[in-house]
Amino acid sequence: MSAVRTWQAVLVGILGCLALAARPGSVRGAPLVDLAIGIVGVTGVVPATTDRPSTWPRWAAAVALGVATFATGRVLMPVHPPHLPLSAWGIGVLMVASVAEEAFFRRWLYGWLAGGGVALALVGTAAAFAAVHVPAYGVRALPIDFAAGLLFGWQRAATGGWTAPAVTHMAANLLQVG
Amino acid sequence: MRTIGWAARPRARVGLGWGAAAAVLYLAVSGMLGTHSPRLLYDGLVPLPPYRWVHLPGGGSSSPPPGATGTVPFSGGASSAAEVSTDDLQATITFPQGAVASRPGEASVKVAITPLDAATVAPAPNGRHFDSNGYRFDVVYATSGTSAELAKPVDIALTYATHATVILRAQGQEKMWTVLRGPAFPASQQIVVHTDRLGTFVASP
Repeated sequence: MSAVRTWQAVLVGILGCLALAARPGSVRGAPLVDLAIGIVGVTGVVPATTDRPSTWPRWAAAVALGVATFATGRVLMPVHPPHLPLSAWGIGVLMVASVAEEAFFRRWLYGWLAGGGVALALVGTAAAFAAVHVPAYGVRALPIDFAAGLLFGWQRAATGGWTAPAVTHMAANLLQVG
Repeated sequence: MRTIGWAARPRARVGLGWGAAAAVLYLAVSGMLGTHSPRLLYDGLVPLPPYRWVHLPGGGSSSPPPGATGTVPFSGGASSAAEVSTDDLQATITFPQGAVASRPGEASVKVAITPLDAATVAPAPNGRHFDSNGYRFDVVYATSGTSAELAKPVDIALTYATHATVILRAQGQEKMWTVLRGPAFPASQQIVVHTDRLGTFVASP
């Protein structure tokens, strides 16, 4: 592995996480950060893997388990603030943010960390995912976001791609609207 | 997908059992944090609608904020868990089960949320200013109309306009504010506090 490539990835990872963590400082700028992170996540170079493409039933099962988990959490444990007062534009931004984060964490970052094994990729992406959300939701959100990150990471590992966690993340966010 | 050829290694496919374990962990962690847990949402970083003021600071016009009403029934001798919000979600009250003391002959309590200009209740404490409307929360027994007593604390969530870190409470005819602290959610500009008394609440930096 090229050491230069590795250090470039480390730098991109740190800058990406810092940009995501800084989003609460600028509500207007947050969508632009999400867009940039999404572009990095989708187009960024990752080490080659031997992941096999997931079968449709396996992909659907992973999404179903994820969505069912977030729906159960929403129904059984109503949380505060209870809802987001969002416009159609806000909901659109929310969906873009979901996809962008999953591209960044579950495609790009997972792809780099997976060279050290699935466990490292799962825990590493979940930890980074939880950490970038602390400024917005506080330290108390850390364990919830870490656990959610593990679930998304499992979907990534189980399906061999990042679309299952992206769809689940969008659904989880939609569950908070209305 | 662009890839490069270094560090390729076989990946073990992770089974459904691990996914179920992750799901259980997520629900367990959420449950352990109880009613004060943060929202199960990760990207509330979106443009919010303009705050709706009763009295817009500095003059000008604002869409009037709505109030709200609701009913909390008694079931099995205890009040049910319930939540009442204004339509613009600027004010919410959440009742855990058994939050309202039951009374013979009463089947429910009525809840009313009324937006008002907090400055008409009492001046802001020194060094503070108001960053939301005041919201008065009234809970009365449905049959008698008398004020209901809280048997357990309830949660009050307020949206603020620009920046706030605490919620102030004025109880009854009090002309002074008590500072209440609770988790703030900058992404959605909301604060939640736990309170064992009702009255008028307002967000403040």
